[in-house]
Formats: sequence, C-alpha cells, structure tokens
Amino acid sequence: MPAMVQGRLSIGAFYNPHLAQALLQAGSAVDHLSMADPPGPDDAAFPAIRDRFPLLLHDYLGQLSDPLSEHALARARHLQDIYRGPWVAEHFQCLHTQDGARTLDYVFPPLYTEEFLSRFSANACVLRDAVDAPLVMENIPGFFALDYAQMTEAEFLRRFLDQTGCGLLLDLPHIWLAAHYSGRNAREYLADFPLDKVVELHVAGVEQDRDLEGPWIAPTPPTQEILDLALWVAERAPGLRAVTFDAFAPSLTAEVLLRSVEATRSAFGL
Amino acid sequence: MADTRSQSDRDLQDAVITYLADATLRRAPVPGLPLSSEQARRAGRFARFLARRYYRDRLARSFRYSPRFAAAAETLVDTPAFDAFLDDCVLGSAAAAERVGDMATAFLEPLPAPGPWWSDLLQYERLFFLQTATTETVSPAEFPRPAASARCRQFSWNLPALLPELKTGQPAAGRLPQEVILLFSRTPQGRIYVVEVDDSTAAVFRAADARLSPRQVAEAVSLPAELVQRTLVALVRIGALVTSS
Repeated sequence: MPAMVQGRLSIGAFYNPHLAQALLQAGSAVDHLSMADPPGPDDAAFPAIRDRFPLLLHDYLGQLSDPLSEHALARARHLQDIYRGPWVAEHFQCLHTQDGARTLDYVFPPLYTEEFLSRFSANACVLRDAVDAPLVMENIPGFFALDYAQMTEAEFLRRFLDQTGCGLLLDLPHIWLAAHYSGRNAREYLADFPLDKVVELHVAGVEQDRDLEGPWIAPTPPTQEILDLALWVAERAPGLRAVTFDAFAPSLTAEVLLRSVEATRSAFGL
Repeated sequence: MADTRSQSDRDLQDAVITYLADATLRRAPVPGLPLSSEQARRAGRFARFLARRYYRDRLARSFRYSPRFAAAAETLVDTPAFDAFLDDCVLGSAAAAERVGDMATAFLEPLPAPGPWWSDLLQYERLFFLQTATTETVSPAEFPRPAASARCRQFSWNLPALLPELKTGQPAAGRLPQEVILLFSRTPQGRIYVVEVDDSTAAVFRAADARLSPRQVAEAVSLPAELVQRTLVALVRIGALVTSS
C-alpha cells in the first residue's frame, strides 16, 4: 500500500472509475486519490489503482448529527481496511430526517447550535474510534439562512475541532460560495476559521446554476481565485498535508482532471 | 409544521429538510419555520435545485442501457414538463418516482425502436429507477406488505440475459422472446435487487397486502403454508415486503 508523499504537499484528485486507465498512465502527475464510493464489483482496474496510489476514505459514512448504526460503523471500518489512508473524512451536514423518510441527498449544513455541536462531537468520536484513524471534517455551505443559529460556522467548527481533536478538511469552493451568498469576501469569511487545524484542502470550479440563479460547485477546473485562496490558506495552515481536486462525475474527462491537478500543482510551485 | 419554542434543534432541522423536500409545503406562507420571506424564496430555489439534481442523477443511474440507442433519459429534467413537476413534487416519494419514471418512458418510447425488446427495456429501467429514486418508507404492519418501491412485472424478453448484449449497443439479432417475471426491490440499507421469480413467488408477493396473515396468504394463492412462509421471509430479506413481526 503506497504511503502519502513526505516532505511536501500531496496533490491529488478523486477516483473516477471511468478514468482509471488515464490515472494509471498519468505517471507521477497525481499523488493520491480520494474515494467517494467503494470500488464497484466490476471495477477491474481498482487493484492496480490501490497498488499505485495512496487512497483517502471520503465516502458518505453517515451523518454525524445522529448516532451511526452498527452497520454504518462496520462499513466505515471495512472501507478503511481496504484503503488504509492516513485520515478519514466526513462532513458537517445533516440531510436526512431522523426517521429516514426524507432526504435531500446532497450537502446541507446543520443548524449551528449548542445541541448540534454536542451531537456532532459525540458521534464523531465514535466514528473515529471505529475506523481507528484520525478524522477530518469538511465544511458545508448554506444557500439560505434560518433566523435560529446560536453561533457562526467558524465558531461551530473551531469548538468542534477543539472538543474532538479532529482535523479540518477545508473545501474552498464551499467557502467561496458561503462567502458569496453572505455578501462577503472569501478571505474575510475565513478570518475566524481554525486554519491551524487544516489537514486537507479541496479545490474545484464553480458554474452558474439556473435554479439557484447564481454559482454553485461544478466538476470543472479550479478558478485562479480558488487557487489563490488555496495558497493564502496554505500559508496559515502549518498542518496542511494534501490538496485534492474535488470532482467526480461521469461527465468528467481525463483531460479536465489532469489539467486541474497540474494547475493545482503549479499554483503551489510543485 | 414547526413549533420552534418546544422542539429540539434536531427536530427543527427535520422540519427544514421536510420543507425543502415537499413542494406542497412551500406553496403556503412559511409554516412556523424561522425563515424570513426573502430566505424562504431562497430556500425555494435551493429546493428546486436539489430536486432537479436528484432526479437527473437517478435517471442517469437507472436508464443505463437505453442511451446506447436513444436520448439519455436524464435530459428530461431540462424540459418545461419537468419544471412543472418541480412545483409539486415530494422529493424521494414513491409517487414522484412513479411520475418521473412515467415521464421518462413517455419521453423515450416514441423514438424509433432499435429492436422488439425496446418497450421491455424501458419498463425494466423504469422499475429500476423506482428503486433508486424512492426513499419513502411504509410503516411495517403485523402482516407483510409491499415496500414503497417494490414492483413485480412480467416481461416478454429475458432482460437479465439480454442486458450484457445491450450494453455493447449491438444485441444479437437472432435472440427470441422469452417470458420472465422480475421482482424489483430495495433494502433499507439501499441495496437494489432485480430477481427472476416463479409464478408462486409472484403470487405471494401480490397477495401480501398487510391484511392477510401468512396462513391466509397461503389460502389465497393455494400454496402450502410452509412454502409461503419461506417465500415471505425471503421477500422481506430483499426489501420487497416489510413487516413488524
């Protein structure tokens, strides 16, 4: 099982099974791969991928607003046994109702309240112990706001990380969107974030969405603004180990993936 | 809908999720949620974005073979008919999945048929779509009842045998029709089954309606009680039936 590169940032991408051959032929262009889905039973290339790349578990393991079931914990353990990455990722999100009857099936943040902070902290520790690996948590943007929050996103994250000892996976397109929709500059938005806890960064592009009548995350190359923001964060994140091009979609081409990783690598002078 | 004074924050989050999932709730003034009218408008836009994204993804995952021969089913979500659907859909409900599945087959069926199996293929993909696009659950009763998305259908063509050929885009011209009964289901953990069943199993599935005990199901389908019991257990295991017992 290959180890993450040492002595410099690891620059990687998400594993897209339809691009497996291109990834295997890309030489040393891609340092690591994040796994959003388990390898499919018909994915003949996965054994070679596992032999070639360090893998990071970035699946949906469960929403940490609620206790994870034994089934979910066993699944998380099983996936980490396959990948053996240096950390495991989950998200600050709450998208299913407690009875499971309704789901939004997409990123949606929790209310930033004491109750949710307590819930996330307790359940994150259970997950971390189950996978027996460090846990990093990814920020999730909101598109609208309820008049109910008891703290800012930055305070919620900082207190959660202090309580649990987890790391931060800072998704920069998410930050850019959260800042955009709150009418602020991204660096200003990040002012109170615990950047000293950042272990991994996500970069990607954004594009206009007709329903939102504004920008949203897209499987496109990171904009120069996102790459500049990544460099700005990196200067303030002494624990940063990896930067990952965050795109997985059947429509994603090898050319876009490799160009995006190369642009990221160049931005960091690697 | 939401009394923010007495409920937990987690309950309030459920109310927000339900509000976003159910377009019928968003028609009226904001029902008890701490949302300003401006933020409610934004929530409505986000809800449409979520629904369009959800059904685009499920159509692409489910109508996997027909794009070899016709338009991709997911292009349906960019049509005016789908815009109208977004105005009153309940995300993840069986009714919404039925409606989108019907829209997709109606969208594809009039196209020139690439083979005599075309209509069967679209029905196969439609029933698979019901599994991927339904998160609604039914309340378990004392006696077995069908899960929200479980369906059993007779096909004129043996789709499981034909699909590997359809995947290549060049099905064998000499293949003949062969009737099969397929049962489509999804477990609570999200595992989807498409299984070929015999007449007896299909009859047991269709008879189990929450009102009949296993013994009454056996009488209704004129099969041995022991066989029916084993069949019911197997159908519960693959998520086709649910029961509290």
